[in-house]
Amino acid sequence: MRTVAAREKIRSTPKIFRFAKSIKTIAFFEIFKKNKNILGGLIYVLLKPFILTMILFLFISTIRRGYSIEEGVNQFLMPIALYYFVLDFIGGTNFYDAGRNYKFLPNVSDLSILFGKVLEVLIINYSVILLVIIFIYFIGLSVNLPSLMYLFSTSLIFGMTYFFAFTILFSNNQSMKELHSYIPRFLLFFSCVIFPLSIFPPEIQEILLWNPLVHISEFARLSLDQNILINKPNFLSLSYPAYCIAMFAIIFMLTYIIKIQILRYRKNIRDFF
Amino acid sequence: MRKIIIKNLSKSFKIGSVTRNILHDCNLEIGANETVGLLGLNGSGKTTLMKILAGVEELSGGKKIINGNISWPVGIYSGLINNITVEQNITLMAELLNINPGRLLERVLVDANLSTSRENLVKNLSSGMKAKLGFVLATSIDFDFFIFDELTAVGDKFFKELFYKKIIEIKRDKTIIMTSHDNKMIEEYCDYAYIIDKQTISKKYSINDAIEKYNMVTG
Repeated sequence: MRTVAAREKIRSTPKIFRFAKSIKTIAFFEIFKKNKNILGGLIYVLLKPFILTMILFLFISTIRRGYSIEEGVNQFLMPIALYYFVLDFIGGTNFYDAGRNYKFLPNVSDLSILFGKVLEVLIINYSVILLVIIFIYFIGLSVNLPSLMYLFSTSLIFGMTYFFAFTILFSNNQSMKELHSYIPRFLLFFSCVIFPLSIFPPEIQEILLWNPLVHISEFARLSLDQNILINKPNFLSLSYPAYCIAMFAIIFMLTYIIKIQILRYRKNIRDFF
Repeated sequence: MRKIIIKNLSKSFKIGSVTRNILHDCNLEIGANETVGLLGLNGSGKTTLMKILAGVEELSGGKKIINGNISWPVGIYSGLINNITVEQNITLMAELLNINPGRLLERVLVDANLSTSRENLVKNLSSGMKAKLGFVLATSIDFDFFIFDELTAVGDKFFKELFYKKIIEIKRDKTIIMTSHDNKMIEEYCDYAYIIDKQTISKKYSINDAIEKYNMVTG
């Protein structure tokens, strides 16, 4: 029979390290969980943009003669990779509910669950973007790295702001969550990921440009162009998604503050009576 | 000094537009090496209080002071992630608590007799096996406070034997807080008890008084 002293000792560490460790642990276990614990699942996630690009390339090359793989990569690979990156954040807003079981575990808080999801998205998508860059160089094209970094940072801030705001706003609203689950499908067709902006008539282009993801997708398409700043069309702007993020953050904060004030006001009235 | 102090604790949940008070003005104090029973009817707020103690739920009002490491509320469904394997669950816990994962894994698999199920997803285990895994996992770690929530409600004769054996072992130098509807078990293992009645905890009862009062409440 084991003695009492045989229990595994918990090594004491400062709170900040425990917080960081819980974020890292949740992120890695989510990667396992998401991919059904199999290596094939992980490989599929990493290759998803390549697979979709290949499908689109095969489709277009059958209807357009002389359509080269370089053109296919140039038009689709980077926008699709960035679309999946932003999409992981948009789709991740339901994660807090799915990840609630983690709250039963020691040293895990709401914040570590949320940041764990962010880290998971970053690990997967940094790897995907890295693979995309390697592939682009491999087929003889080159990437404008500074513009890609800027694009990636904008997408990251856009995705994270969306993720935190909607996770907090929807945390107790089932119907909004269900409605929200259709957004990614809707965005695939209206963010110029699989149809470039140039194929639409100017009137439709104007409407589509209200969507900040269109600017990100079109910029991603240009990121293979070394003269991006000279060749960039005037209507495209990466500051627009940045303004959208700022506006969105302000609206979110105001909504949140008003919501808290209303709750407090109701409580005061109840307490008074 | 290891201690749990709860002062004027209250907890309410918002269900739709209605706010439901679960607990209010609860006070309790639990010291080192004590085994404490928590009695109450179904829906009285025992599990909510356990979750608050473990930090799973935030309190709506009052104060909570815990000096020492506290386990998660070890129950039928808690403390395990369903979509990962038994082995990954144990490793996850080891990682979170900064414990050697290899040693913890070996110990839990042997003690819970789950060596053949190490690659199985937790969601594919029976509720008895899940309870056993959660219980053995918690009791293999050197927490100062252990929380057991209705654990013997599931599980076969062997699990119950293991449970009682471990309780005796842990009681020697750790604090246990347990809920159960089994008066005999509370009488046998607990030093004293608190009763949640009308959403509040007012005082500490000796075991005999607690069972008498609880029987009166349940009619």
